[in-house]
Amino acid sequence: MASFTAEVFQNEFLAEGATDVHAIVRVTASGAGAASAGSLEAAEVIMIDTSGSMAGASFAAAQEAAKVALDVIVDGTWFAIVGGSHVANRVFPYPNAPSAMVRMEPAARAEAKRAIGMMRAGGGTAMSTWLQLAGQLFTTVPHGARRHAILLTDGKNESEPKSQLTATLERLQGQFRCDARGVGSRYVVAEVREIASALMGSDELIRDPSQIAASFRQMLGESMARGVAEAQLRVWAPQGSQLLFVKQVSPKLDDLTPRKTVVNPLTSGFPTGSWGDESREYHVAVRVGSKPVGAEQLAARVQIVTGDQVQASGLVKAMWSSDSNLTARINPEVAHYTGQAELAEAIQDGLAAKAAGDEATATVKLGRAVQLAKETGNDEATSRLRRVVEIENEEQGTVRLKRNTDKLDEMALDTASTKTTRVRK
Amino acid sequence: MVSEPTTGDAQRPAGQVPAEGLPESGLPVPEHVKITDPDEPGAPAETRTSPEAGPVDEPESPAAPAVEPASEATRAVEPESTGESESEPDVACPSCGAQVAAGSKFCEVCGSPMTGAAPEPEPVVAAAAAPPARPCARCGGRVAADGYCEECGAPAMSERDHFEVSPSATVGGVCDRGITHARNEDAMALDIVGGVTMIVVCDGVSTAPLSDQASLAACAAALATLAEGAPGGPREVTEPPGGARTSAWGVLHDDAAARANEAVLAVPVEQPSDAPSCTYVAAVVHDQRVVVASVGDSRAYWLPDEGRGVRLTIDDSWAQEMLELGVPASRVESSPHAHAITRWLGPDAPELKPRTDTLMATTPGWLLLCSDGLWNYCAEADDLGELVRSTVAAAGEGAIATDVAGALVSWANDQGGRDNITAVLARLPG
Ligand SMILES: [Zn+2]
Ligand SMILES: [Zn+2]
Repeated sequence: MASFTAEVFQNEFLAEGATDVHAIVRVTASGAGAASAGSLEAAEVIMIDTSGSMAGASFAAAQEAAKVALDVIVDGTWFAIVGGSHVANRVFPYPNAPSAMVRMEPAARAEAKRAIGMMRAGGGTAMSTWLQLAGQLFTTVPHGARRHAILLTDGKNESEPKSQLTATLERLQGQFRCDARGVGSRYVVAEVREIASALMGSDELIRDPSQIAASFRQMLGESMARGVAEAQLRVWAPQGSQLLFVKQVSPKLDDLTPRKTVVNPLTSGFPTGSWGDESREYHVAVRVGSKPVGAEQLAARVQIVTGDQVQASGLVKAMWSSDSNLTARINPEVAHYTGQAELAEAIQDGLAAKAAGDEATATVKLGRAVQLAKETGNDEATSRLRRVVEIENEEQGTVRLKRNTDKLDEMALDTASTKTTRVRK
Repeated sequence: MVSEPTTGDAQRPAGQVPAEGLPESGLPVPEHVKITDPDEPGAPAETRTSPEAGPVDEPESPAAPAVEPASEATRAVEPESTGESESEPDVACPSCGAQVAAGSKFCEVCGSPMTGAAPEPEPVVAAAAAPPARPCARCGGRVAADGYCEECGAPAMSERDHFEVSPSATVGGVCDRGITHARNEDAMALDIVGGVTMIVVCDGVSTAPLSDQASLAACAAALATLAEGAPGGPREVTEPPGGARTSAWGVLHDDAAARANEAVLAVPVEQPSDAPSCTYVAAVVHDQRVVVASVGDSRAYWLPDEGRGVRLTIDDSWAQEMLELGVPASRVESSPHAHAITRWLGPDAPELKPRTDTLMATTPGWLLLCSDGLWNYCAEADDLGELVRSTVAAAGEGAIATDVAGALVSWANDQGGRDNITAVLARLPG
């Protein structure tokens, strides 16, 4: 049986007149792994881009990867294959089949592979239609099942306005988890990121079509090791306070604030999707009314909830003090993740400026990113940055933009910008 | 305990007062004072006269007003006595299991109230089955199992840290730890006996570990003594309205202060230097007649709806003595000795007989008894009158005296809550 713990990292001491309380809350699930997942009803939908741009090596590799994925999905799991272009098609179960999803078993696996082999590339790209179809398919499986989808694309979402995708994602939030993958250098990192973020999944760049199968195998393996179908993060803040933001900061950055739902007037809920044995960290910021020196109050209760059961609870406190030795300290976890969030923003802004031809801004932003990566010990970010800029001085953040960089290197840097490192102990 | 921005708590000083006054103030220092502001470097230490009290061998039960809680297993061991039975066996604290002297109202280890020994009964609050947890002392919200209010986030306070007593809709008080202090060393006891309202407020002037017990014991002992003068009591005041009636209550006041002093002395301490002490103010309202008595700097005020407010007590304080000598108030209040008191209840008390005053409340108004935790933020009678009137207006229809007292306590906490705060109000019809 899965269990959760919550740990709070903060400096609860506030100077006189101070109002903002910051804390990092680490939520850890255990007993939620493969063993627990085995007894859970599960459903998988695989969405493959079938637009005209896919034709060729990418499409063949994607078909192959989808077949490999079928081998990984364990018998008994509900599944479906969707082919997506400017419209979405249910590839398997066949469009004329009576049920929208079927349970995996050897005959279904063989027939599904045959169906995948008959897919043809052609048409435009409107990803909202793919996701909407996946959402419909998931409504046909038993309540409480873990719902997971994979989306693979190689191109831009060019057949519909941007707002269409955003609106669809908003509607589908909390209904299923979707891991999104872009293959090659022609897709848009921000689009894939938006899908993964809204549907609580991961996003990755696949440099070469030959790596698609391995990526699929990994995503499905992780999915089947998630024994908790859905957990909600709840944040209570006192009467008269303001919840400034709630961000996931580890393992990757994801601002949950826009996904807030109202549990009761003082409590906000945020969907977190499915859980395996893992830790996630959240940065919670609350603005409370200032109190006299010596006063103590609870600034937030952070809870992880499954069903209606509170699994773990962390307390974020505020204590006003006149001792500047206490109040001036910045909690190392809060400082670390504040820096990592700034790092992600600097990378994304720098690359956007570079793409827009604003080299001056790009140089400043990416220089700042180099500096922050150094300060927060994010060596992976540093090595990705090195492929895009020449570093002159790491501490001061002075860089020159590289000429003739590989587009894939920029996309890899952009994609990985939200990945954070843990605090070094 | 004059208004002073850096007011600290009452603290037991040690050592001798220098024979001469302190040079930086240039003002004479009385030889026998208790300094109540420990933060002032120039604060003179108190002269410790030899404690007259020999060893007090039998702890006097402070549980004078009968408390009738719901039946509890531990109640059987609570002595009903007023001190006859000596060396009661220790009792286990229901909260932490520590061994606590029988008759103690609060655990010395964790501060939890000992079952069956809550400070006061609460007649107005429905005596129905006890709720699972006390509501939040700050906002009345539900306190969660994690120890914090579900509405305002304030930490739960123990019964000793915050308690309210409501003998009637028109008489009620709130005693609160405040914000800065770790413990509540203020105490109060109030009741209406045979139509006579009686109120006692004590402020522990010591950081000795047990001064919270001492102030509570003093209040309870004094109230029990005053109650003897109520109709039907063993010392019923039968004198007709007039000077004789005032005198009769004056005698009871003297005895009540003496009993309160005994209760303070009876608090068991490990060494004499730990001995706690406290201030004392008491009031009796018999028909229109208000008779007050005080030792130290806790105060009583008469705040009529129309006309000027009156302070009914004179502080036994260094500041008061300086004012009487004609030293300007501004100079007195800025002095490091502003928080020194010259009389108190306790082992080395210089003189126990309280100062008394009387008043005929012929028009409607409020009688207020309070500790310096309130009046430090609002000392003038007229200012307090205005504060009470606006607080009453804000509390709205249906508010009882305890609600208004609670709002005064909240107000003092909003001002910084730098000391324990007690406010007791009695609405007099005139
Ligand atoms: Zn205890
Ligand atoms: Zn509250």
